[in-house]
Amino acid sequence: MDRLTLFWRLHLALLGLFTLEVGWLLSLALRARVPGLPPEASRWRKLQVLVGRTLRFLFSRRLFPFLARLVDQGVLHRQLIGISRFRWAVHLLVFGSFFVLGLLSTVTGIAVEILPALFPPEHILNANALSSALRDVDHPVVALANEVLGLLLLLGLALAAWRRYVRRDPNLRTVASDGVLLTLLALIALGGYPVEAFRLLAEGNALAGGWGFVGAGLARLLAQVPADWGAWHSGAFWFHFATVNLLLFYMPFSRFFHALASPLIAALNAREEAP
Amino acid sequence: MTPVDRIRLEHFTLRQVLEMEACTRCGECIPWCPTYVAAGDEAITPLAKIGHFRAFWKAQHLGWLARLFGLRKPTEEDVAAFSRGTYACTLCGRCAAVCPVHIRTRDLWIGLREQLVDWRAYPEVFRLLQERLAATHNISGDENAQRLIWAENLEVQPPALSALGQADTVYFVGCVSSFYPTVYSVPQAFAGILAHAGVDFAVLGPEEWCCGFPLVIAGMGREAEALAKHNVEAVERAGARRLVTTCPSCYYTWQHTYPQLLGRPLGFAVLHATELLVDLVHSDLPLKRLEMRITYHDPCDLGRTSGLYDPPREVLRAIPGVDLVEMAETRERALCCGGGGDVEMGDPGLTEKVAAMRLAQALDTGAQTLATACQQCKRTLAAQARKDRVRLRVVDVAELLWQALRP
Repeated sequence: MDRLTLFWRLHLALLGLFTLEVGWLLSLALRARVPGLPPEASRWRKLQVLVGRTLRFLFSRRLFPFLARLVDQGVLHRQLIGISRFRWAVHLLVFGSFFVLGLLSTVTGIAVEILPALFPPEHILNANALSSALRDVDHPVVALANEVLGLLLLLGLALAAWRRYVRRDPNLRTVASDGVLLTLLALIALGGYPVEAFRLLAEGNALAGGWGFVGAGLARLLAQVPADWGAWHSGAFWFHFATVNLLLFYMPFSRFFHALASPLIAALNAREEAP
Repeated sequence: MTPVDRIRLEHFTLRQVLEMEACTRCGECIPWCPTYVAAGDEAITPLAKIGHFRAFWKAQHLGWLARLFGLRKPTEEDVAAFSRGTYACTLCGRCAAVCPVHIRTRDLWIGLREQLVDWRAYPEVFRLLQERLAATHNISGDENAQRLIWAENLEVQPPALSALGQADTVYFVGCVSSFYPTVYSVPQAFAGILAHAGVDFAVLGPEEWCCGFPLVIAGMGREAEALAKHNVEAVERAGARRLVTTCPSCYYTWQHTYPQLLGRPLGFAVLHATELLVDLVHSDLPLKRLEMRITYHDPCDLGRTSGLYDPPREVLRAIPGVDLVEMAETRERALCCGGGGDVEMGDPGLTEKVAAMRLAQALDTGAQTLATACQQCKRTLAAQARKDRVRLRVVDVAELLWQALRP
């Protein structure tokens, strides 16, 4: 089995595990009350009612204002600007970069693996500029986006760590899991650059440069070092994969679950506070 | 203390459980928490309360995964700290006003108290409160037949429903105004205004029972049902079109909690006194000039909890000569007086510290008078002003209006 096939099998299995974890947590949370139902209603009944309400909501006029609030209050956290522009910037650097990197990676996965399996090569979904760009790992836009977003994420993590461990903001209460989370996110962001550099080295393109300037720069630095770069690339690739999936596994049981829950709550509650 | 191995998520809505997950632990709420600032006890912070409970319920349900992630079942020490922090909260809701994620904390804290009641891990004083309310139907423990003691020295007695049988407006006085002499002046002034303005009103007298608010916020809401049923039936028998109260906590309870407890809408409108007073001051009532600089303290249950910020200010501005100045922290971000959340029953010293902080803010405005629209805020702030020998007169909006109105 080649590396990419193994990657996709493992990745899909681990995404399934993540979905199961979130589903398990939600099934436990369904012990809570659902407005409009008696407290003794079964969890199954609560789920049915919630799914019904969600479907009605998705096909109602309330959806677009909700999506606007989801972006404004849940993702951009506009209320944070009034509290501290610095904190808002750190939030955007960490959450925004991670979110867009995740999105880019998902869309790339779809363009590279799923669409060609479903449609012939000449189909519009496969034969278009965006799909071509996503399939080409050295495409200037894609390479630059990955590189810059990774750096922005690292900058945000550095500032977050500085607030927590150096400046020691009096409002913050630092616990061990904060360190675990920051380290894990930093390993994910940092781990992408060796993957890129070792790939260029393994392909013999170390001196060709490229838009992924950090990875390309690292490859240039290592170009004269004799090594089995294919093996290094494989090792770095699986390390990057492992850190990303460790985060996914850890997320539902850790405070990092707020990354999923807080945009939803901010959008829902901001609606009710609106005049 | 009893075993604490069972956690009931039924005390919360699904959204509240998600709200606890949504807390980013950013700590923005911490400097805004009046009792944390006053006491410095880490267990009081919203982060600690949410963190404790989140860990408790996950430890109960996630088994070995919980242990892997360092979540453990609560020990008696954990529960003691959790209870101390949860009951040292005035439920002022300032944490919600500043939360970047918009978590509605006040209802969450009441849910946590309900869980602590399940565990019987609540301060002893609340057991006494339960017993007192069951026996006398008021929080002071006095004979409920004495409900109109505040009116005994009035020249004109407020009309009692028992004598009238019917009334357009029922004035629900509330336990604090009825039984605590330092605030008798609030219902006296309000009843005087209503009579002067020719409003067709009546008081319930001994038929008035505690609204149940102290039980609801103590986490004993189920026991408030009988009180709610009795009070609503008494008002319905009067055929009243509206119920008005000078107490913001009673107002919130009638307006929001009773329909939930009874599972049906009330058949009459519920007003806070200042909403009625706004109508009266705009109806050509002749008002005397009161030359005074006044600052206004927003009661938490009237402002943040019920959204009524403008009616009391409108009444004050309508009085000729009044110079209304705002404190540094006002409206949505107003500091609590310290007398809310049943904190005074459990830790009066903490209430005093918060009240002193609010008085300092009032003094900074240069006002000679501190007005509020809540008898409990008046009682708390006036007692602290006396204790600290602060030259600040603490009055209710109704008292000021009555001063400008009375012949």
